[in-house]
Amino acid sequence: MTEGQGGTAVEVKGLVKRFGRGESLITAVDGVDLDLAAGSRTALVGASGSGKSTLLHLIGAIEKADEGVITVGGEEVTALGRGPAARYRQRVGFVFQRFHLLAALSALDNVLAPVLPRKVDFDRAARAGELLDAVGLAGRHQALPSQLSGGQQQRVAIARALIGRPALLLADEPTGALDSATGEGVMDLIHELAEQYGFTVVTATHEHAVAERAERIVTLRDGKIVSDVASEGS
Amino acid sequence: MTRWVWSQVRHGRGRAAGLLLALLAAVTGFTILTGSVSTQQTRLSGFVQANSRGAYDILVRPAGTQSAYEATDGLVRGNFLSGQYGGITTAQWQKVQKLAGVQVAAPIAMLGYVEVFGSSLADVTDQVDPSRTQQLLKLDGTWVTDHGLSKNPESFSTYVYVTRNPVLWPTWVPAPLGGGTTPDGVKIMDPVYHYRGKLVAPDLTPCRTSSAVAGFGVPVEVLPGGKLEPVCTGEPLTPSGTTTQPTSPGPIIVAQLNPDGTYTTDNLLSSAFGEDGGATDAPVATTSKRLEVPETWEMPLLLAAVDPASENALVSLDTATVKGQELSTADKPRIDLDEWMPGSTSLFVGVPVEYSDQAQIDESLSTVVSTVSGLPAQRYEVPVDTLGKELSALPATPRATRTASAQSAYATTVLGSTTVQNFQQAKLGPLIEGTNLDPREEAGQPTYVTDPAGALTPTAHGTSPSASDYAGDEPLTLEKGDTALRPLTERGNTRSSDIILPVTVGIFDPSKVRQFPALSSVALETYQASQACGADTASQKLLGNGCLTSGADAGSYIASPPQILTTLGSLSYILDGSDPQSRAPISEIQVRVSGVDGVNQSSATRLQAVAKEIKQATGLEVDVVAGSSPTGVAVDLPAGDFGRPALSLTEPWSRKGVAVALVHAVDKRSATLFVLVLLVCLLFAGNAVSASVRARRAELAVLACVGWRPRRLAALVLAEVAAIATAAGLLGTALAWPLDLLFGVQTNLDRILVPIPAALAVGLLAALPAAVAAGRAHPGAGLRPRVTRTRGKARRTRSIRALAWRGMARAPLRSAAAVGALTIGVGAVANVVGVEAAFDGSATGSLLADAVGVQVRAADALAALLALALAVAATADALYLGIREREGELAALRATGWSAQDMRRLILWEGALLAALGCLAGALLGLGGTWALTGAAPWPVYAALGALAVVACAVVAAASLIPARAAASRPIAQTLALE
Repeated sequence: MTEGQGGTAVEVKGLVKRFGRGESLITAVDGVDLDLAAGSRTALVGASGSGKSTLLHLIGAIEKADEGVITVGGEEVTALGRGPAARYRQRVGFVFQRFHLLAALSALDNVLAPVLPRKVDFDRAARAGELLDAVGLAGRHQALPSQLSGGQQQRVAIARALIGRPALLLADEPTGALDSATGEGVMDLIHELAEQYGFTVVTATHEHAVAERAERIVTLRDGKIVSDVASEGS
Repeated sequence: MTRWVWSQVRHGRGRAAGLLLALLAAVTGFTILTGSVSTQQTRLSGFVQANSRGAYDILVRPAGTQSAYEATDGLVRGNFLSGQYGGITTAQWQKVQKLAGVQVAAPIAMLGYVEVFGSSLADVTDQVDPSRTQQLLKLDGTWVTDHGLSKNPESFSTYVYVTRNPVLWPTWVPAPLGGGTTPDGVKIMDPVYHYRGKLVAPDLTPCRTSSAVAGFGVPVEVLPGGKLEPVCTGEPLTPSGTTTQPTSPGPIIVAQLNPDGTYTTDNLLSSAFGEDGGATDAPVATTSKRLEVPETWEMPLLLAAVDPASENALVSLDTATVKGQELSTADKPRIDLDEWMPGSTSLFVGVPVEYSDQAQIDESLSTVVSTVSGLPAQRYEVPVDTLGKELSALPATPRATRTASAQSAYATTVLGSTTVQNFQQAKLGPLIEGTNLDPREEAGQPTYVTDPAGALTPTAHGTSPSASDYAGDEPLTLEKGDTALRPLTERGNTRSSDIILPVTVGIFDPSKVRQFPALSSVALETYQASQACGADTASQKLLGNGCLTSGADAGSYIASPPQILTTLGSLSYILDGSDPQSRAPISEIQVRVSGVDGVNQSSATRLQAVAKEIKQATGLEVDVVAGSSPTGVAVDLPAGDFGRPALSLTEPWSRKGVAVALVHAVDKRSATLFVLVLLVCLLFAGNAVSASVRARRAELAVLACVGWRPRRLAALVLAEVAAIATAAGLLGTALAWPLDLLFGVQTNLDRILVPIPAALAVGLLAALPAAVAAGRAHPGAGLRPRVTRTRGKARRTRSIRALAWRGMARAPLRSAAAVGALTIGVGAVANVVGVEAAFDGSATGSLLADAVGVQVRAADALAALLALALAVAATADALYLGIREREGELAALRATGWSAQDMRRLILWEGALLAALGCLAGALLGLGGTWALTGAAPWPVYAALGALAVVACAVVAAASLIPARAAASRPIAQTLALE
């Protein structure tokens, strides 16, 4: 996977992830095979506990798979140790349902937070400013998260996810904490940015309207893919 | 409520366990620290009590004798007694004796110096060349004192003429063979010589002195061929049977080296033992295997009078008597009329004395033995008047050095020639030839000037008096002639017309008088020589790390204790009625008070009351010395005339009231430490409890939303904390005994049970603010995401350091608590380090205070280090709690690519910032404490505190590795999901 060079392909084979042990053992992802084209926009849908978020976490290397292989842009993610996994995540953008912004930092500094510890080959402040402008927060750069609405906070989170010029954006219920109108706006923004920067988008959502905005809808149930269809709305 | 609490604890096991551990750490730390403080307090108080009483409780001195230095600084001079000759009347002493509360009142009357002669022998056998027929040895003696620093070059030279030829020794026959009487009517004895059984008459004319009026006797050498040649000895015996005093360079001693290797000399050698040359008896030649040359010592022995019964009660003088009997009040002086010198008007008075078996005089005689290269060409014919000049011109080669100490001379010849006998049965007649107990000289108090640094400099009182100062009497030991640092005066009013004959009833060992704690010792100059040790490196080096003690010269700064004790009953015979001291003969009274049982209020009251009564009854100077302790007073001793350089000394005086002050200080210190420890524990527990409540923020909000009243919410919080605190207390109780053993804390049932109420108290106190806050909070606030709670203006955050600062500022109270705990912990250690560095191990006050100080410093260091450890734990806990509270944020950062190392850096930065603030504040607190305690903060203090701050920072930063690891190892997805 090359940073900032358009989207990247994701290949998942025989992926299994279990939680707990004994009687409480749960197989969250159960033998999933999935190929995502570079620059594609895919929605993972399913009921709560279907395994869509876990699959997203596994692709983003914030969970370790028990079985199976994930290859992103030719790099076998499931084989990465802790350090390489962290470096891999620097090239993946994450958007969360609860935003997880740093409360004490301004919108601009929140966007900059992922690149704080490392050297980058671009002007970080300028890029952060551009991204905030791009997500519609021009003039709100110095606002604290507490001074922003939920939708605005999620936009900050999207800008933060893009600061490292990711080839893959993983969005876990990005509209879950937002009203439907704001949620739609956020999804539109993600897809617009995906068009603009060319990264691959995988969104986990249980909202039909959100899923409809993707090109492809993969439905999971009990950790298995039960359908994989092109979106009607795409 | 109970069910609720149990349910909360059971379902929030992690949180409950965390709180329990935190409370356990706090309460265990609290109980150990307070236990340690309490144990130390008990030990220190016991130590002070055990070392608070010296030989006597109250010192009574003549009115007006307390110096300004003593009055200003609460001191009592250590060298008072030796310079005080009377001032207290017998009636005053008796009044003191009769006062209620006075257990013992021991008077001491210093009487002055008595001249006693002693001698030592210099063995020169090894320097004799047996192959030579005639040879001359020279002995150059030098008196060495002041720890070897003073060397009197004007000592003496003695010559030993050794010949293998036969020597004729004179024998004495009465006139008229020699003829007539001396001009003053003394019968003349004439020397006669025999050789091979026949009377011979050598010509003695060559040895005649210009002052000799008649015949004299010297050894006569028989030269090969039978010629008889007199050997001019330089000290001719006059027919009157007396000798002239040795003249420089001294006499020649003649020794015949016999074929069998023995030496024959006349008893001129032994004549030096006698007070007046010992030539009353006719000289008789003696033979021995060794050739030993006598060297005469003139010893000033200090005479004092005591009340034996009081001394026995005070210091057990009776048990210190190692030979004969102790002095007794029953031994009244005996007066015998002159039965040996009919017609004399003098009285012969026998008084009981007890000699010390220790001279306690720092003096030695160093004798260089040289061989003289040639004999004077006219050795047999040089008149004695010019003999010294002739001899001193001869070249001499040093061959060996012989050294004799004052103690050996004293023990051999003073004590060795003393007959111990029962006073009542003693015959006075034979004592006539011994010492006349006539204290003719006294050395008064040193006088001082104070130098700018506050050191006392003794002022010079001229050189020792010459013979002219004694109106024709010979001076005593003053030929040593160093600059006197005490005013030397002749006691002209002793009953010199009478002969005071000391009857030695016993000999005591001053080291065997009753011993008292050294830390509270008061001056006991009756038995112990004072001493002053080097105060600076140069002086310490000069003194060989030893101390300057009593010198041989009566004018020495440090006086010896009395070597001769007599009874107060003898005073009226020793002191003439016209002597002012005869009216007030006592120099000081040492009083021991009954019913004093340590450093407490009742004893203090009793001592003060008795002291006041003594003052009122007698008008004398009164010092309460119970509870005092030796303290070093700086004395700058000026250079002497015989090589001793100027010395900076520390002389032990007594600082009054040390024990009481120490007990108060120990109590105050314990209270201070208790408060500090309580604060650290509260801060630690407070953070843990607060975090525990904050973690339940949402639950509490839900309860509020469903109708729980604030009071009930607060009660729920308090009840949960109380339950966990009780469990922590029980665990603490289980740990108390082994931990007490581990830390050397005195353990008992109370202490073992203390953790339960302590944990409850600490937990509830710490939980109270959180409980009140929980009750007051708006229900909705707890349900909103935490992110909405941040207010104010955003600050630029473009580095991990800046992010760490934001993290720390996010929970300012918790950070402040951690910084506060660190401040106290580091401050406590800094104070100990600072005080230590300020004094650099040197004495801080009195000996007792120093001894307590050493123990206090050790205990303080332990308590301070434990407090610091608790503070470090509190800081690490604060960091950990901070991580727990924003683990969602941190997980998000990790999800965006922060590595575990980045995360550790962030937390380490937070720890470092907390540590820097806490350590800086602690170091400043320690500096302030050091300043307050010592009144100064020299550069070593700054260096030590700087080093401490750096080390403490490193320790705290290291401690933050634990939460840093926790932050880096939390599962990201799980954390995000839980958020």
